[in-house]
Amino acid sequence: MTPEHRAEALLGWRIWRVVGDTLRATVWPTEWPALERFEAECHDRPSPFTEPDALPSPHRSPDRGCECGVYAFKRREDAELLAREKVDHRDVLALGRVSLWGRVIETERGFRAERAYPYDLLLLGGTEQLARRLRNRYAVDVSLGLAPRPLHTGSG
Amino acid sequence: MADIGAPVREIEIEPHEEPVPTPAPAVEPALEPEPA
Repeated sequence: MTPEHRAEALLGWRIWRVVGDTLRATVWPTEWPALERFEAECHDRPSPFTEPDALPSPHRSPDRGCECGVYAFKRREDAELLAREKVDHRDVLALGRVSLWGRVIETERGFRAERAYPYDLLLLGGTEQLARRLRNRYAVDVSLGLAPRPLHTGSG
Repeated sequence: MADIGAPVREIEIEPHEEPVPTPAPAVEPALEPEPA
């Protein structure tokens, strides 16, 4: 596949977990640094149980043959739905747009990117004080929103 | 992993300037004019 070339970063939607005044990925506890680009690395390390011939070779992330990369959705609604799946009572979540650049694999509903930085954030259920701390730390707009309603309620 | 569907195309993006904010310069307090 011959890549298309662009000079403008793309914007996608994603969620983060807010731990202290730091953004973390929701699937892996990876920290997103402030005032530095987040750069995807593939951690698909070989298992001692796999065949040597089947070992994944080191590669630039993202790769079509792997699942690595910074994930983002095209539609806000998809990120909101994921927030409802991920919400718990321990951490605050942030929903927001993210700038994506470097190698980007566009998919049917989103993107996997090599480099990323938050574009703006909506704090889901946090406080004005936390919003101010995130705004100062990451230097992006941060607004306050309601905590997401958990997707799975009840015991049925 | 979030379900974002199957790959559609690959894009190589090289922005003229990376969309990462730069730290704001420290603001020094304005000096009071000395009395004449």
